[in-house]
Formats: sequence, C-alpha cells, structure tokens
Amino acid sequence: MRHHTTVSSALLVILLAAGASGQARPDFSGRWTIAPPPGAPAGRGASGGGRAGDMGSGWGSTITLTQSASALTLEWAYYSTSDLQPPLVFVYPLDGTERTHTLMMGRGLEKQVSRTTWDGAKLVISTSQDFPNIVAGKTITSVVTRTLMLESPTSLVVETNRSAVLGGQASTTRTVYTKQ
Amino acid sequence: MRSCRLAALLLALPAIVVAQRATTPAQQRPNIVLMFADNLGWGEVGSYGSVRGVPTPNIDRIGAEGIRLTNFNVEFSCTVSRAALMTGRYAIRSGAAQPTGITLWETTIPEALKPLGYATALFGKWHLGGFEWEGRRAPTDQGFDEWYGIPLTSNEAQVTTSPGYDSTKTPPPYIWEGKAGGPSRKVQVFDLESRRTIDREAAKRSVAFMQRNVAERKPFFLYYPLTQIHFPTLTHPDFAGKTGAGDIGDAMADVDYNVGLVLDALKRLGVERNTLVLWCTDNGAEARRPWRGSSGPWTGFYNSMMEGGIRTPCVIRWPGHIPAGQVSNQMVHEVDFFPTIAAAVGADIVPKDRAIDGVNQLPFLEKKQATSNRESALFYSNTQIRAVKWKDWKFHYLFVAEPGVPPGPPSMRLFNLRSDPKEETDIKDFNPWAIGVMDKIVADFMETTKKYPNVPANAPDPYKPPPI
Repeated sequence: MRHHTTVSSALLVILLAAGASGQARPDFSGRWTIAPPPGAPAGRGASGGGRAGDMGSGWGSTITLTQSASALTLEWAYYSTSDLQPPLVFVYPLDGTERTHTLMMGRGLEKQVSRTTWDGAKLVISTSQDFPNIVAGKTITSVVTRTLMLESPTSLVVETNRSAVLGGQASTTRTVYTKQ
Repeated sequence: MRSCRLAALLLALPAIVVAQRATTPAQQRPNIVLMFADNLGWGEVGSYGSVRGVPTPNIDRIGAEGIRLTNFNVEFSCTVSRAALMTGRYAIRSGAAQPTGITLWETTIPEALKPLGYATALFGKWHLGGFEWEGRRAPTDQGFDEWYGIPLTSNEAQVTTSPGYDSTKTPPPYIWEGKAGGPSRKVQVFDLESRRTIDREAAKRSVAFMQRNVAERKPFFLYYPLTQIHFPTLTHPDFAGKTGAGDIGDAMADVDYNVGLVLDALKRLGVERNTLVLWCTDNGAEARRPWRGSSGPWTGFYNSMMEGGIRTPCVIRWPGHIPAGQVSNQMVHEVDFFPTIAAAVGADIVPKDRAIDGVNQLPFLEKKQATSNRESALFYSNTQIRAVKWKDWKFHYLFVAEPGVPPGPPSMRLFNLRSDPKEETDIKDFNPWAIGVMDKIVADFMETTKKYPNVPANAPDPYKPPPI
C-alpha cells in the first residue's frame, strides 16, 4: 500500500511537472506586429509630466519569432529595403546558456549578452550591454529584461524593463503584438 | 602754494570718488540690448550658412566680436518663447498662452532691472498680453517704461485685406504706443503697408531711447523684438525686391539693416563697450508658404520640437567681458538670459519665490569655464512633454516632424544630434539606457512643480500662488 502511494505520488509529480512544463513552454513562433489601441491616436491626452508616446519592446513594430526546442530566434527588419541590409537576427538559447550578439549601430561594434529563463509560461530574456563614453570616460551597463507571454494564440505581450543608469529611472513598457 | 593745492586735491580725491559713486551708481551698470527676431530660422543668417546668400554683416558682427552659439535652444512658438525669455522660466510654469498671455505675477527682466535704475523699453512685438491686453497686460504693466509696436502678432496685418473683411464687425488691428502709468494709444492701423515699416520705426525709436538715456547717464534695457520674418514677410520698401532672394531674402536684408542701426547708435553714443548685446530668434523658421523659411542643417520648422523648431541662431557681444571670436556648441537656453543678465548687471534680481529654469551662463560666455552651465533642456507643447535634450542626445516623447502631420510609429524616438543632426534614424532600441535618464530629467522637473505649481493658462490677475 505504501509502495502504491509512493508510486502514485511520483506519478503525480511527473504529471504536474509535465503539465507545468506544457504551460511553461508556449510556442511564440509567428510574425507579430504591434496593433495600436483602437480609437487612441498618439499624442492626445497626456499632460503635465505625462508621456504621449511609447517606447515599445525595443524590437521594433514587426518581428518574426521562430521557436525550436533549443532556441528562440528573433528576426527584425530594422533597415529598409533600400539600405541593402539583412534583417537583424538574434538567437536566444532556451537552455539558459549565454549568447552574445554583435551589431554595428554606428558607434562601434556593440555586444549584447543575453540569457533566457522560463518563469512558468513566460519566457524572460535578459540582455546586458555596455555603453562606453555616454559620459566621458565612463562605461555604463544597461540591462534590458523582456518578458514574453501569450495572452492568446494571436496576442503576444512583451514587457520590457530597462534598468536605471546614470542616476536615472528604471522603466517598464508593455507592448502587445498581434499575430499576422 | 601749488603743492598745497595738489595735496588738498589728493586728500579730497577719495571723497570725490565716493561721492561720485554714491550719486551715480546706476551708470556703472551695463546697458542691455536684447534683439529678438521672429520666426527667423538658422539658415537665414550669414554666419550660420545663409542659404539664400543674403549677407547679414551686422548680425554676424555681434557674433564675431563676441560669441556665436550653435546649440541655442528656445521654446517652439511665439508666445511661449517670449514668456520663457522674459521670465527665465519654461512657459509651462507661467501658463503662457496666446489668448491670455502671462499673469502680472510673473517677474520679467525689465521688472527686475527697474529697481536698479534702469530705463526699460520695448519696441516691436509684445505677444504676452493675450487678446484682452489693453489696460491689463500691456508691456507697461510688465516692467517696461515705454513701448511701441503690436500687442499680438504679425499676421494680424492681413486682417484688413482678408476677403469679406467688415470693419464694422471686426475692428482693425493697430500699432500702439504707451508709457508706464498711462493707457496705450493707437498709432496707426496695422496693415500690409505698416507691416513693412514697423521694424524700421521700432529701430528708430530704439535709437532715440538709447540716446535719451545715455544723455541722462541712465542704464537702459532695450528690448527690440523684430516682427520679421514672421508671415506675411513683406519688407520695407528700401529692400523689397532688392536682394533677388525673394521676400525672405529681402526681409533678412531689412532685419540686418535695422540691427545695424542699433549697433551703430551704440558706437556713436560711446556705450558700445558698456553694453551687453544679445541677438537671437524666438523659435525656428517660418513654415507657412509662400514664406517658407530655412532651418539650415536642421529638420523641421517652428511649432515643432524638431531641431529646426527649437534650435536657433544666437549671437552675444559684450566687449571686454566676452572674448571675441568664440563659436560654441555648448547648450544654452533662452531661459538662461534672465540669470545671465542678472549676473552681468551684478545684482541679485532673479526671483526666489518661484521655480527658475534659467542658469547663469556668464562665466561660460566670458570663457572663464569651458562648458556651459546647462546639460539638458525640456520641450513642452502646452502641458505635454514632447522632447528632452541631454548632452548630445535628444529624446522625443512624441515624434511629430511637422505640425499637422499625424505622428507615425514609433512615437518615441531617440537621436544623437551629433551623428544624426537631421533626426532621421531612431536609435532608442539600441540605447535602452536613455529613457531612464530622460525620464529622470522630466521627473525632477515635475518634482519642482509640487513646491511651485504651474500657473494655469487662464489664470486671471491678480494671481496668487498657492502657499508653499
């Protein structure tokens, strides 16, 4: 009887884990675009210190995500067609290992060091980047943490937290993408 | 005997000097001449590139004999810019708006200078009294001993020639004049003809004002807010059609000529060395066709937060104090003029019972320090924060390239003005650190409004601020 109970408990743990795992590993694959809130033209309504705009996710308004068992690949067309530049492609391993992406955005090669973790059904991508000489002689490190979650099969939410640097403030923006 | 007289004279000398100081302390303070052109963009001035090829030797001379600023910032539109200039406060604090102007509670530069013995005058465009300015918010209610000009703005000159205009229903606009303690009186109708000559008349009155006060050995604050090159950009007959560079080119020749009248008078009167001269413009280039101005290397026009709307030419001269030949990209804002003028006249006249956004830039202008005392500036539209500049960076909270053009995504954009002066390539996604820094600047400003609440835009006189 006791043996039976132990087996049952083990089975339950496995099932729960499987369930949790199933919940924790949604597939973010798809081509996603930011849908502006209906009837809310930009630039209206904010006052005082209020902001009118939106920082977005930091990934642009249209992104393509491709998810495999081992990695999430983000493709983002930052350049226009006439720029003759390929889309930016970032690959984020899903096993928690670190990945460095190098890109050139005009102030020398920039290295973004990223790592992912799962938080239930949410995928958290933390990216660290050094910025030399924003203030002369200093290098500041900025950390951007993006939390991806599916609100529905066609609605992807990206919460983007930008760390505080230079005595500034941390900020978080919530961006909703709709599947195309 | 002779030596006794000499000894007596030497003994008496300190007393004579002391007596002279006691009786004429005012004359030792510098005169201030502030010339403020209207909707005149960066690209119109010779030393800033003069895209039309119209020489502006007088304006250029001010910079050559002093400092030419290449990162001078202003508010984005007429009334708010004049409010900031006169009060040393961002216009959001004073509630400045075209329909109502500013409250009499605001302390203007001339108001602050008057107790020091300064004669004060405005000749040109006021635009801080609102629509119901007469007898309530005239320049003479805000610290000017005398004034001549238009209470509102230049486009009113078109009223009487508008199709269907009926003078029985809409009174014509006027050019006015007035002296403190009395009512303003109408000088002549402000129409398309007097629009051409008002700046010249204002320059002549400026010269007469300076002559009078030099003769009386009284320091003066002359505010000469030119109406050019605001639309309708119709120029004095001396220059109309003369430059071959269109209405704006002609207007620039006229502006420079009038500036020359003032500068020549300073020299003729022998007060050139004891006069701080500031020349700048209220906001970016005129945008309305057919009088489309030039923003030079910048994008955008007035009424926008693009650099073409808020970065304007500015030249400053004070012989013996500001070393000649300086050109600087250090950040300066028009709100800095009040504390800087206060430092120049050597008096603690900046109000302390309210938030002041300006900083004293005199040590920088005098080359006693390499950097300006400002590293950021805020840009509001009414009560909405629209952009922040910090060092070489500019963050748009709501990117609108030109008024009337709906903002397109992304609404927030970040630019490095050194590498992208035209504000074309948004790099906020690659500089996530920036938003926190910009937000902090805005938050710090908002924190000050807790202690010193902004004056509501429609606040009547007498305005009484909430107790601190």
